[in-house]
Amino acid sequence: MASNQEMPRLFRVVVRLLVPRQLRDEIEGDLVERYAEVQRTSGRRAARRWLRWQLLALRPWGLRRSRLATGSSGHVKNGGGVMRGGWGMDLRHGLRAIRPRPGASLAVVVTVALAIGATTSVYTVVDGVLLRPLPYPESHRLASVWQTRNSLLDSPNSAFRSLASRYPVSVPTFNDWTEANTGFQSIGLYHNSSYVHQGVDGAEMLDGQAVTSGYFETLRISPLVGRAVLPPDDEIGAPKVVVLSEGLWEERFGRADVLGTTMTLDDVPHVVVGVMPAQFGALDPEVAFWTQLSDADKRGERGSSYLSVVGRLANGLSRDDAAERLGVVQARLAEMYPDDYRGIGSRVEGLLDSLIGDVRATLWFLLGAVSLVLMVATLNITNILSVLGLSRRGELAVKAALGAGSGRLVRGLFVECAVLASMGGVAGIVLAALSLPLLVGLVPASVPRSEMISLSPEVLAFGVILTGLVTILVGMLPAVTAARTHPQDTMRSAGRGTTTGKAGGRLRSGMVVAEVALASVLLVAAGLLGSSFAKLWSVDRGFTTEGLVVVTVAPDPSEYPEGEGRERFVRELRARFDAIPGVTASAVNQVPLRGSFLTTTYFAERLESEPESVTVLISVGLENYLDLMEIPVLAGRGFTATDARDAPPVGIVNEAMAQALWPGTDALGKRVRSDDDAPWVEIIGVARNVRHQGLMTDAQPKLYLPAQQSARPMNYWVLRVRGDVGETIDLARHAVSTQSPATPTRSVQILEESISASVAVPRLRMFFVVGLSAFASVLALLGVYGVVTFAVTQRRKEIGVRMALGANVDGVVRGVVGSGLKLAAAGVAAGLLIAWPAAGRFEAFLFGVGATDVTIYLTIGLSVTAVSGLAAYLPARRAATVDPVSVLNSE
Amino acid sequence: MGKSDHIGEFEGLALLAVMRLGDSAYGARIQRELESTAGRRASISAIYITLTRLEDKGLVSSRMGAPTDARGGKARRFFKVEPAGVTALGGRRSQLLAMWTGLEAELDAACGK
Repeated sequence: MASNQEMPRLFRVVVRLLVPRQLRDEIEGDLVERYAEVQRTSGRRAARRWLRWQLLALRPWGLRRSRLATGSSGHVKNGGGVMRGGWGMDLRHGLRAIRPRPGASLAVVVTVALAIGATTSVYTVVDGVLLRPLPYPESHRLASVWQTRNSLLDSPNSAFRSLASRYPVSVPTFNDWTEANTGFQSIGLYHNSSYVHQGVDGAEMLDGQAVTSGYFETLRISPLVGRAVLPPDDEIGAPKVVVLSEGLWEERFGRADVLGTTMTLDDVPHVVVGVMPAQFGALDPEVAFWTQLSDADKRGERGSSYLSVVGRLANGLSRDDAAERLGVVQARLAEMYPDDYRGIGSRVEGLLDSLIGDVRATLWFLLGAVSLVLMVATLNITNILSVLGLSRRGELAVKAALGAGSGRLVRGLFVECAVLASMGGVAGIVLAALSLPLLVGLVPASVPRSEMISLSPEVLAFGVILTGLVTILVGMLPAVTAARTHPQDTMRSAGRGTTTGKAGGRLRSGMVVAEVALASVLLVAAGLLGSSFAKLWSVDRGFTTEGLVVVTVAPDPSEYPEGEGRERFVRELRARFDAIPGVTASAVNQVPLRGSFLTTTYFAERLESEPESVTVLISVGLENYLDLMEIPVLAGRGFTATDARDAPPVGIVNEAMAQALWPGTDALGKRVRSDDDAPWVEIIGVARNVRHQGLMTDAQPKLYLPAQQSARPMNYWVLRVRGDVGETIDLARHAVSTQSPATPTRSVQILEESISASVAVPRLRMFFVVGLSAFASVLALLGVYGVVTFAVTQRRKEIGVRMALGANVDGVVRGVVGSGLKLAAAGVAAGLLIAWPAAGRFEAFLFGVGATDVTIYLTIGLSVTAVSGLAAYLPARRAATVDPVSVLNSE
Repeated sequence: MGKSDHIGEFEGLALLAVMRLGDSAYGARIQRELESTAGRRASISAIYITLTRLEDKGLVSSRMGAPTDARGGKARRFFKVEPAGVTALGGRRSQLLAMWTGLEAELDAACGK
């Protein structure tokens, strides 16, 4: 006798895969029986051939079509098509169901596409900037090591405040760290700097990094060509070497053999010893080369802290362990050198974290905001689909009466909704992919790692998972509500407009309340950020920024030595700049709004007491500087050519300095000096305050000194341009290179553009959230409109009867609008209650407006409620035009 | 005869096979019967698709038998022609006979009888 074992296992697996469960036993049995029979009569090979044919002839869809296979009962002849079939058939039905209502289907697909597209796009940025690991081996072990200096937290200078938790390190401190057991396998110093490169085409500026050999050892990437900076290069007096980035090697040398050639950087010849692959520069893609620290750097003093440190943690050691060990070293140093280490601690931060910095909060904030929109969209679509599902209760009741089980109906409806949602999801992912170049263009230059933003497999997986979740959420509820159908009730009330069941109605209202709440949260965020940005942008800068171009030029020291040489350079270059049509030029040592760490302590003369000190910014400029910047002198006079080197020292204070030293009295004629040996400087004028550290920071005390009475180098030229700025920039560069071929133009910036770039992140936050909140609001309003419209349709008969009994139109309208307003008000209240505490967490994003600014909350609350009322009014008007006679006749 | 009662050629053969086999009409036997008597090779899949469709139309009914060792512990599904099936077969037969009438001599000659 034949047994099951005789039929090859593979064939049995195929049968199990292809034959529906309900028919599997008998078909497998028949095949086993016949196979044995054929084998007996015609041999094993013929039997195999026979079996292969049987399996090839298996038609799974055909087998699945019978009622026996679908498991449904009933005895309907030829009418059962709607209840039969598996997922495949549901899918076909789902696609077919789009046709009769293209508008609603399109709305669903577009909404899902926009929401998923936006969310995926933001996630692309989050993934590229925050989540992708750095391209170094075992990059999780890499850390930035800083000193901390809490005293800086009280500094009026925001640039100093930001240094409190990331204070750089000096060479002696670094050497002490290296010698002590600090838990790092390797540790290196680095310092970004611009170098003057004397090339064949003249002088140019190149960004480079001065590093110790530990920097290369720590990042652990092998050179592409040659070698890295090695320990012997760290010695004082070691020959100067340079390691090129792959980018510079390709751009300047066309990947030719460069080892052993010489590059002149800052007037010092450096021998090229190696080339690093592009990924090595991930910490700063602008860096074109690496060289060792200069001998002056290597001899640095203990207090001279300007270097950054990167370390690789020893295996098994955490950042906390390393921080603890560093703390011990710092405490020992504080005992040995109390003056240098008072109030100074240490900090170990993940390298990626320190690279990303403050951008992290903004990116998570944006992802949060876009997720809220996705939630609103999901709720909205669920609502639309559940209403569409309900409007087909008649059809479902017929199917149920014809024997379709409720599981079958739920599945069918679920697939219909899911088809739409997944179409939207896929469209969204495609949208995100297509808009990627646009998105990368929108990311401000100040955001690190923007070159990493790409559509990675992780991003695609995110989009797909998101689509799956939305599909399930969107499909589930409408299917379950609509399929909870009692055929008899529905059929009995067919054509009369049924009420939808209290639970379903409440659920839909709840969803609308949630939509309005989430939209309100976003609107509050948009209101706060918008008002904050408007304040930031319109802040009084204190001078006229329009048409100002800043040219940075440091004269070649061998051609123009300090003193007379520099003065000559300034005089001659000024003449060249002034010769450019439409240009007036002035030179200064630091430019407003661009921030500066350079402050000096000055003492005011006091007749009855000790001199009083104040920390001030020093602005050394040519005599026309204040005029050119259009900084008004409020009292006294500006500088003139008579304020020469041998004339009595004079200065002009800004309002903040006058207020700090001589509140309530006249500053003119008062005297200040920087130390006991310095001559007294007489105050001859008071100038208006100017923002120096960026738009967000109030003006600090500032002292203007005339160029001829100060030795500070004036490397910044401000050009006031009337006319074409682009053309002027070319002429200015030309003026510099004609004046001195060995002097490169370090940078040329249109001041308005750099101000705009400095607020790029707040601007992005604002525009993004305003856009999202607008989208969410439209969806929420459509939600209110939809629910009210549906309720009115359901209550057509009741309204008709009431009107027939003499109810007045206004009453009907008021009732309907009232129901919409109730939903909106509940949503607004919930939204504001969520926004109030949540906004506090993002106070750092705000400027000049509190996170709980009542005006903004009230305005948003009232506007959302009012507009929702309008959205409810439209269906209400329609309800009021119901003709009682026709409604009652239709019964 | 309404459209719903119409049976196709293979449906007719399958119904006849089930009738001929009486109480022992199940997949493997039906396949063998079609092969030996009608000279028609049909896959098990085609037989089940046809018979379950006929069952949906109410022309046959089926029941499961007990599992047997000879079939690897799998049970048989026995089919039975319902009165409606007999009626449909009768209708099909009359239709064919009516169409044959008057052509016998010609066809016999053509087939060399």
